[in-house]
Amino acid sequence: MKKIVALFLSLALLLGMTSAFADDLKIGTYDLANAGDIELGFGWWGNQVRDAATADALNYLTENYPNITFNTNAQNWSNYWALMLTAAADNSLPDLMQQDYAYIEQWAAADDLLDLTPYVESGALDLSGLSQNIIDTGKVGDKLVAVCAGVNAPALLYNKTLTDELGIEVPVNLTWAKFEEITKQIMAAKDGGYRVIYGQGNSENYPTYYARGLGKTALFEAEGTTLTAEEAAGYYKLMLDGVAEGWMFNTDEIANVNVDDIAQSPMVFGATPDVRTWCSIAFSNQIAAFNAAAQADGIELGICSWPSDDPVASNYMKPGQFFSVTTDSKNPDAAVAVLNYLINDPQANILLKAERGVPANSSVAAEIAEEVNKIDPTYGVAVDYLAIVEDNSSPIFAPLPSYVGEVNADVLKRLSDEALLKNPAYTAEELGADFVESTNDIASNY
Amino acid sequence: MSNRSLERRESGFTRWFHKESTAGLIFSLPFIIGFLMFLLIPMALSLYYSFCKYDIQSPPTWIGLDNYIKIFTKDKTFSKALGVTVYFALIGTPLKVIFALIVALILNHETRAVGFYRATYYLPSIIGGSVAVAILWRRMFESNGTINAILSTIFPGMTGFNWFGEGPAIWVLIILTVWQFGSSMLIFLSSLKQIPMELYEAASIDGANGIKRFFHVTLPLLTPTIFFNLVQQTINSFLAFTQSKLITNGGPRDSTLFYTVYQYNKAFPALGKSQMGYASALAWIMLVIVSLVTFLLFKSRSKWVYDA
Amino acid sequence: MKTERKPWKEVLYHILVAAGALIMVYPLLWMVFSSFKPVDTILPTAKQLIPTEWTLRNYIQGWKGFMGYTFGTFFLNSFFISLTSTFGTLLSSSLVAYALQRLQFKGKKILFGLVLSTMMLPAQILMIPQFMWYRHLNWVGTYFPMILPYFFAIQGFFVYLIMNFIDGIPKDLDEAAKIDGCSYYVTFFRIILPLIVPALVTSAIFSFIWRWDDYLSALLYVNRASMRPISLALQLFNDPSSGSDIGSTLAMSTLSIVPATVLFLIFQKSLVEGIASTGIKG
Repeated sequence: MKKIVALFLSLALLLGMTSAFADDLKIGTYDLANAGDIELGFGWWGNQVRDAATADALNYLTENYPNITFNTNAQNWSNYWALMLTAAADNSLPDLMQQDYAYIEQWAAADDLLDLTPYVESGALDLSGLSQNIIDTGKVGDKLVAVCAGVNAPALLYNKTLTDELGIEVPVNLTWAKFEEITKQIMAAKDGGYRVIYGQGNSENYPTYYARGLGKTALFEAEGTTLTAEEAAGYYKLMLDGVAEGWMFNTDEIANVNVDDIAQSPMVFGATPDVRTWCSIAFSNQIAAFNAAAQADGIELGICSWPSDDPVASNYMKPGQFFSVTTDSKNPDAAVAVLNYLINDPQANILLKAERGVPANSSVAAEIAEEVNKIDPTYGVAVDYLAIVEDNSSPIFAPLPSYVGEVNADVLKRLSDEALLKNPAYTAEELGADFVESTNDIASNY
Repeated sequence: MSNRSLERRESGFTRWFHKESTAGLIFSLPFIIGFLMFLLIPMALSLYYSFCKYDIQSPPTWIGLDNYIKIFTKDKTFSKALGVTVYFALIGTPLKVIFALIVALILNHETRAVGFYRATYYLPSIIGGSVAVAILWRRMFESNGTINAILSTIFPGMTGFNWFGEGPAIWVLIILTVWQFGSSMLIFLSSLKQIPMELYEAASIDGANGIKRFFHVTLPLLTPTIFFNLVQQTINSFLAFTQSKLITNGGPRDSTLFYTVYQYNKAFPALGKSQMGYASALAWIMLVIVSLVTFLLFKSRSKWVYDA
Repeated sequence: MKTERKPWKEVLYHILVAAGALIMVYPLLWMVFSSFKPVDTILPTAKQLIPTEWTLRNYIQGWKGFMGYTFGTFFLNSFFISLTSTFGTLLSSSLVAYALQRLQFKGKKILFGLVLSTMMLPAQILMIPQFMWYRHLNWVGTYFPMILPYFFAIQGFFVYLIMNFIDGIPKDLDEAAKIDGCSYYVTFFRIILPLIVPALVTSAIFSFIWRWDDYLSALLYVNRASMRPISLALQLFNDPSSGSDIGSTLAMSTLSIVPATVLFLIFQKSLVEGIASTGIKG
């Protein structure tokens, strides 16, 4: 009898040990091993580097859970959204999809993203390692529809080699006045070259930062913009003055360079000083790509906040991207388990090379630092910068209302083109009034 | 005797089968089936969408003519894009066809190297609208690029010229499309080969020299092909997409915004809800415009095309 | 033309044509040479055509492909799609072209109008409705939408092109065949088809290249990395938010134009070898 009990106990111990081994991966409470053969669809945007990194992380999961395989669909940014919209049209979205702060409101409203709240409550999705602020960024209304895949913050990346050479010190919280001063200093020393590009294109990032500098949390609310015509005029005045005084690129000059491609961005590439800039308005998760291009150019990079009258009010931490589970998923439990793995598992995040940004789970972020720094030395820089931003920023604005897309395309782009003209046809007051009126008009139709 | 028995045995079906009208239908069957199966329904759907508000993520809602009204009364970008596209078509098409004709005539000449030459003149067409070409073109036309480097040796004022500024930018795209004249050239080459030698010989005998032979034999016989290429390239110009999207993305200030790019941006915006209904309306308007232009071209055909 | 040319004229001809060819092909040469440069130097040394430092890194890195599938897979996929759809296009378009050019039947004018109209449809707008329809047929995730429709002459361009060629064949041949007792079907296969070989070759080359370069259909209908064609794979090297690999792009783009170039080189002679002085009597 004793022998049988002993045998039984040792068997139990053995079983306990083996299941502990299989529990190595942080997949949450769902019994993934016994979920049967599942193929999960996973879509994201990115390039070959991200593709390889994600493949490694997913393959590692499959090694430990052979019944789980993946059908991945990676595209570049613009193809991605076209593809996802089409898949949404006919309810064939992949189980997991990468999401972006500017899009989640729209996608949640269309009921394409699964509410993860029940999974958090049941423990299947463990978000204890994330700060509440970060978790809340994935909420639209009461629903938690997305989990942060990498923390991010606005970052002005600048040519440190150049500023060191000229003995210029760039403060980490950069005011607009200082920004202008430094630019003019550099221009004076460099034959009028190495200027800045600011406010171009259709991005709401610039005016949002500006609005926050005035004390508002967001630029866009449900009913329209938070700016008055006067305040908006102040924004456009920055650009009109900048171009008039010659320290900002005008519309034609911007067309001549390639701002959209990091490797060809004027901070790191350009044959003559007149097509170069001394800094780039970017985000902290682009450090690695910019650094690679900078090294090719032989320059070292520095990092600080975007320029603003009140940098601490303007600056914010935001998810670089999210992961969401879609409502079209036929295996949401398995998808959530994989999500848990991607967020919380240290090995996964090492394999992911943190190239989507610093992991949202702060203990994981710290744990992987040593390994990732070996592959990507800018990881430490990003982590440090984010630590500074955390103390020098204000809460982020709510997820963008869905009318913002139309505002970007039809209003912001048009007005920024006008504001950056060499020979502007409109005054700051006219542009400011136009912005407020057009934005509120569009908002009223949604 | 055997003929008569054959005739008697010939069935009604066989007679019907061999009628010209039947044969015509049977030969056309692939297209008829194809059109019904693969084009009609999507086209009908697309027309339906043009009368709807449709953001793809939720089902379409009928709004009647609202899209069309907005396009014609309130949409400034519509007229801008249309203007840019017409300009592009009006200039790019003739240039392309003329170059294609000239080069085809030059290469219609049997030397050993001519095959190699034909390949090099055709090669640009093969590369199509790819990412590589976009990178290429930007690098070549930037203010410090190769084009300016070469041009400034002849015109010193061209140093640092900004090809991507608001005025010149469209020419970057026009040059790109003209550079890819190879496909039209190929069609001309094949047509040139179809002209019977006897005609040239007859003209020679009648005392015509090279130039006279060209204008009295070659050119008239080429007019159907010129017409074909003209129609084809005109339609292509109106529907051009990739160059504008990848190289200049419509800028600066929409000066290179092709109509189809504007349409695509409405259907698949960089951010925000899709305006698929609006985009569909834009598409149908373009279809009407292109049909009109093609119709006018066809109407003009009898005036200058010589049908043998 | 059998006129003799003076040797200096010949030399001048070659110089001018060769110079023109060089200008035409310079951008492509740039692409090919740049693909052998170290990736960091490609843009800074853009004006320098020949690399000072040669490397195969771009080819090796680019070839690795995505999600475990190399460009070898993508090449095979592209070949399969392009060859089959081209075959279908040639077959169906020549049939329809014959009908529209040579036969009289009711509704011919309307049909011709419809054929032409297919040339004017922008792909980007039909994208969504076509996607819905193909989804209805359960064709999403397969190659069917990218191949099958081409067996039904849906690209009016080729029908029109072949029509144009058939137009150049004297009607006397058709008449002679008819008198000899040939049916329209026999006339097509025995008489017309052999005479439109240049048009078929031209169409084959165009069709192959168009199918090879088409990425929009692949974007929608191919949802497995293993089935991706090159046209779609090439796009993934460049993403504005995460940086682009220009070296791999240029390297794989260079490889991508090789098949079409080879095809052209092989067939270009038969292309222009028309019916220059054969078979046309009277």
